[in-house]
Amino acid sequence: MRVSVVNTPGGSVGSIMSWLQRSNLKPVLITHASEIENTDLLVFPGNGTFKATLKWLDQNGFQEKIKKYVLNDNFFIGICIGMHIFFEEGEEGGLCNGLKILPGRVAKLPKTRIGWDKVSLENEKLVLNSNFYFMHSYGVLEDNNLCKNFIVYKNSFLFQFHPEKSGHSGDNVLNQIKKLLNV
Amino acid sequence: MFKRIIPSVLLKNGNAVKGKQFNSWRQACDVISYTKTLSHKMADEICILNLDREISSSTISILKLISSNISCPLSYGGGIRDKNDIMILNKLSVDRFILGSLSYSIKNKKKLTEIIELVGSAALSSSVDLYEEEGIFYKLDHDLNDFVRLDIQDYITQQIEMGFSEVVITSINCDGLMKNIDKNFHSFLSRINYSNKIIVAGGVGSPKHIIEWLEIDSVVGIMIGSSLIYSRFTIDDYHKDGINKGINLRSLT
Repeated sequence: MRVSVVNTPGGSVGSIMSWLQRSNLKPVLITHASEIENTDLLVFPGNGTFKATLKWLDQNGFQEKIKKYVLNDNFFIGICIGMHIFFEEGEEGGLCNGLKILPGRVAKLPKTRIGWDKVSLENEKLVLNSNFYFMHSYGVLEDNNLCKNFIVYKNSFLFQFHPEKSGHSGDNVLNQIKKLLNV
Repeated sequence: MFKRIIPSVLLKNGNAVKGKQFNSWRQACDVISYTKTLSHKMADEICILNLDREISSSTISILKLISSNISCPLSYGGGIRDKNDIMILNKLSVDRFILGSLSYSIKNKKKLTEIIELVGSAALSSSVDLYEEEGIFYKLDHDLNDFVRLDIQDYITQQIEMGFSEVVITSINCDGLMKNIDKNFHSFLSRINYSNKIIVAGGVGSPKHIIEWLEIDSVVGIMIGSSLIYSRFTIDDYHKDGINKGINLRSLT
């Protein structure tokens, strides 16, 4: 199985590689959009600002490739900024368009969130009920003014938190996704 | 969000060391096995502070070994000069970056802006080491190797407004003595108008010490060094005691 990790300039690729390797996957770092071909699981690491990340994606031909990859029901894990890029636009670093896969704006939060918080999700594809590590000052607010912690869209698993830094809770997330991939 | 208890490890010449009042450094433990144990015991975060203030090849080798053995958040401070250093640390699985000298001066604003653009402000903390004498606070300026008098409340406000998500404040007077953090910190911590922005460090010796600090609205976390190495208390003892006393900490069991 081919697992590709997008090697963004500010991305926490070290943590992501360790997380995937702990689960006996053999990830490769990719810096060119053409390398998405034949990928079974594409992982987009956290860290980075919205505008700089979208600019980098554009310069390296990733924008349309990722969009096509996701809309074709391929498996994708997006962490923090890897979730933000899915939205229409974002404010971080100056207002800028996202990939526009999902509606909404990534906005500055009233308070920066750093640390652990409880996350609960019961979805046909993924069940979460434990503490996860967060580190972000931008996010997508829901109608109740709370920040979206996760999204399951087609076969894309988008997390505001960092499963790669959440110990056993994060390893459990990856194991569930591996099962869906029949690994 | 839960408040955090952060074990810290000081590195000097590639070894984990402990000292007293920023002096008398002595070898403390095997940093690789110690951090591995902390991660296994579900530490909220592990902080590595490099006293050599240089990201050398030996620093990189140690961080590589540490990060390949842990699955919890890792923060690092010591010798971060620009965004190139951040890029190196990023690849080594460092999640949070603690800036000392770089945060002191407005002259460094351009470098700071570049770093924020690269990793986002949530990943950045600033750090100040405080010496107190007769109720007056002095910052240890590591570039000048001298103490500089400062209004700590103004200084913290300025750091937060510059874009740092958290400020780490270490008591030099109490460091390594395990008799609690400097009580004089109360004079400014309760007057800071930001919630959950300050991490206090320097002097924690037992679980009973952490309560009075974590009860303060501006304090989001506490760093513990010597106590976890030299006393009988474990990271779980700190969490359990805090939870029992009503502090919003993560249960590790």
